[in-house]
Amino acid sequence: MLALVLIAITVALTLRGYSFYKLSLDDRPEHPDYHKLKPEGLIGNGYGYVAALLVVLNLSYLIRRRFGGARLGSMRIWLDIHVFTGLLATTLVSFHSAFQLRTPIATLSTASLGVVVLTGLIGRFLYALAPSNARERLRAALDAVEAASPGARDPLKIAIEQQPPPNIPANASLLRSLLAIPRWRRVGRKRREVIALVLPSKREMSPALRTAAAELADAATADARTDGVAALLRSWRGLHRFFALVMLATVLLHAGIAWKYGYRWIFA
Amino acid sequence: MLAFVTAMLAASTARAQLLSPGKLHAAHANIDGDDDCSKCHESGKKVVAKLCLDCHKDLGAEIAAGRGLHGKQYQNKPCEECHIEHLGRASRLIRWPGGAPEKLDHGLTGWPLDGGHAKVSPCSKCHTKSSPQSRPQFVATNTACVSCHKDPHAGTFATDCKKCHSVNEWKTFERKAFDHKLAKFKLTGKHETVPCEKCHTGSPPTWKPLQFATCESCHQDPHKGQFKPKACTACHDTNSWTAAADAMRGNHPVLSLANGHAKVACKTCHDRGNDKPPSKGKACEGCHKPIHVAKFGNRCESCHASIQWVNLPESVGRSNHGKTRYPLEGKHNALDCGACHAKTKPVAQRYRNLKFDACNSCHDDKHLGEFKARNNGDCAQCHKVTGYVPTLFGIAEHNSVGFALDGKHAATPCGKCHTGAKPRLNWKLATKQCLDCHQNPHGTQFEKEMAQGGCAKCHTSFDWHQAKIDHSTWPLVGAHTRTACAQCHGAQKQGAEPAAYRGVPRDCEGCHTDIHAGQFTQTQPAKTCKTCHDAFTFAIAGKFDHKTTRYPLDGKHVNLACGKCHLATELRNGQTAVRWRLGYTACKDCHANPHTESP
Repeated sequence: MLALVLIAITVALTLRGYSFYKLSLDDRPEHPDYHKLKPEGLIGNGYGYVAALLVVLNLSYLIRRRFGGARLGSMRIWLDIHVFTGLLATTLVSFHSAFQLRTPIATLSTASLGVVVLTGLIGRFLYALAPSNARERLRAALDAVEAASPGARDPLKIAIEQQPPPNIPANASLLRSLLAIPRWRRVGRKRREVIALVLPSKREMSPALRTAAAELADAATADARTDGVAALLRSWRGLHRFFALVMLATVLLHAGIAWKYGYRWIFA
Repeated sequence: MLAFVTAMLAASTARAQLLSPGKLHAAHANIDGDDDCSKCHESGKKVVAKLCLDCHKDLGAEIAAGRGLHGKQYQNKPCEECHIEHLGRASRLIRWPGGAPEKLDHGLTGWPLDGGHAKVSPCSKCHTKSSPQSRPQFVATNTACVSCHKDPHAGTFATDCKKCHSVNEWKTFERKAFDHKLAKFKLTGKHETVPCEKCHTGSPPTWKPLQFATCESCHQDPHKGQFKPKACTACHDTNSWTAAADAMRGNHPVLSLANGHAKVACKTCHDRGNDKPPSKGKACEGCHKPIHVAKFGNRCESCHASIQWVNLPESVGRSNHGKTRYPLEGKHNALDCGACHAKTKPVAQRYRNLKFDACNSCHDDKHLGEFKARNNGDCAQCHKVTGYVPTLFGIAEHNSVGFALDGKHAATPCGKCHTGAKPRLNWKLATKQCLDCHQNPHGTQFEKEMAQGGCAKCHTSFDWHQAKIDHSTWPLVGAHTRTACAQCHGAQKQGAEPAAYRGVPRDCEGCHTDIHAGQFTQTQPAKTCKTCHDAFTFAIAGKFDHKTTRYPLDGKHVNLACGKCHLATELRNGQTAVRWRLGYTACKDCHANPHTESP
């Protein structure tokens, strides 16, 4: 839903100013909407103000994350809003700059923004990849296998425990977290193999056991990557925040200079 | 990313434009940098036209004068509406009305392209100026015709061609509009009404070249050369031929015919005819009798050249006053002439018969005769012409008035004794006693001495504190010779009791405290201070003879320190002091018995 809203806004803004944005920098002053769509114009500057407001709204995710509890809503909803406001702010900043990078500050700001969006999207993927309650899920899957094939749980449990996930500390660096990926993937693969060895072949399985075995393989794999993905997500978030801070600093610098010289949109 | 940021900040060009929203046009490249924002922007005011005009001064002058495209069309329009910046070096800095300079309605500049000007192309044919960056400059273009067209009159008629010509037809010439004052031969007097054709003869008329160097170019000489080589204009002008005599009055050779001479008829001097010199000669004495008493010489004209006898300029009087019997000196040089030569006096008494033998011929006696007895009141004995003050009346002169200024009186300012507001004119004092000026700090202690000779009985005018004191009634010896008077007689303080010089105690206890706490006065046998001490030093070491006491010192007691036996202790009268009268005679009074057996 939010994605649709984002696309609709992007399309609307593009249609509104396409004839202006496609012109070269030198030809734009001749455009009838130049005084509205230029970065310090009524509409162009408005994009910048709304984008700044969205950035502030975007940062409220940090408050929810650090201080808020469940009473403020689920993290999933907050994360969706965080992603939406971030992408929409990026879109509006692009229209505010009229798709021009003319200064080091603008370039740095845009590059930071791009990296923030990119790392944000990757982070969102990692977040989806991180299993929740993997231990519980594994235990439930073992119970389901035991129900479908009595006596199978203990050998399976031992076989799985003989393939422990790699030991990755919670505060591991990004590099260490990345280097650990092949290890927990290998453990996941091995667990799937030992589960297949312990259980009968798929052809000999009852439908209930087949379903339970598939869930067990997924749960064991998820359990194998739990610590690795968690450490990767934590260190990845640091990268995301660093560029967000750089972007915020440059945006504040940019806004401060504009404000100092009187380019204050409707407040001038 | 960090490397990128570092590179951005490190590169000097990038650093110069870190905050700028884009590069400026090449014309403004010299102010393209973060340090130069304030060249165009002002805090809170975006682009400020005044700042633009600080550099573009010629444009500012045009706007202020309401001239040109900016002055007529864009008086209060923001510069950045047409001159959009920060779009890069090669952007278009000027957004021309109409889209291009060739499409500009030149009438908007207040200089429409009429006549042949409409065909002139390109713009640079007239707009020849260029900016420091070698770009065509349209502002402050010279609109004078001669800035583009060659002046066929070679500057004869100034540069306002439109006075006679129009832009549509150069050859058309407006005669009535022509101002002959611009020509080399200006029309004055009766020439102003002469028709053009009288001088510019021929058909078509010959405007140039024309001969007009002398009057004979047009007029005939009725004197048939009698006054050659003089020009006609020496006697005649263009207003009237018959005004020659009047002209001669203002142009008379040898001497002026102004003022008094103006009333003299020509023949009074020219007794042999107007064109011959007078038989009495050219000198003033030929007609006038010298009357000056002062030796001013016989060149009357050096002062009276303007034929003026009285009321000559002040400078004439001042520069010649030194030749009179009263040369101006000192402050007399700065006086107005009228201060001495008052116009209220008749002319006969104003200069020659003016009295100046004594100062009071002009000045009043400010002292009202106070000094008449001194040298007949001659002001010069005290005052000079260089100023009323400072006077010549010094210490030596004061010594002759019965009160010699000796000692500290010589350095005392006059006003200390001769009180009253300045300028001080009355110098007489009623009496000359010390107490007229000084206070008696001793109260009534020396009434007898005051009656006999006053303060001078003890003091001189040289130093109050070096008084002639006879201290023989209580001779000062020993440490008393070095003791300050106030130690015994008390310090004299303003408003306090006067120092006591009479009735001061003569015994030691009158001044000194008894540090023995009465041991030698309250117990027997009583002793005075002088029994042991003298006036030279309080210490008695080596002088005290212990044999005079009840306990003569012998043996090891001889070398013992006094303090071994005489210790500071509380006496019977309750005071604490070194106890000198011990009353001990037996050994056990001081020593313990080492032979006593223990119980």
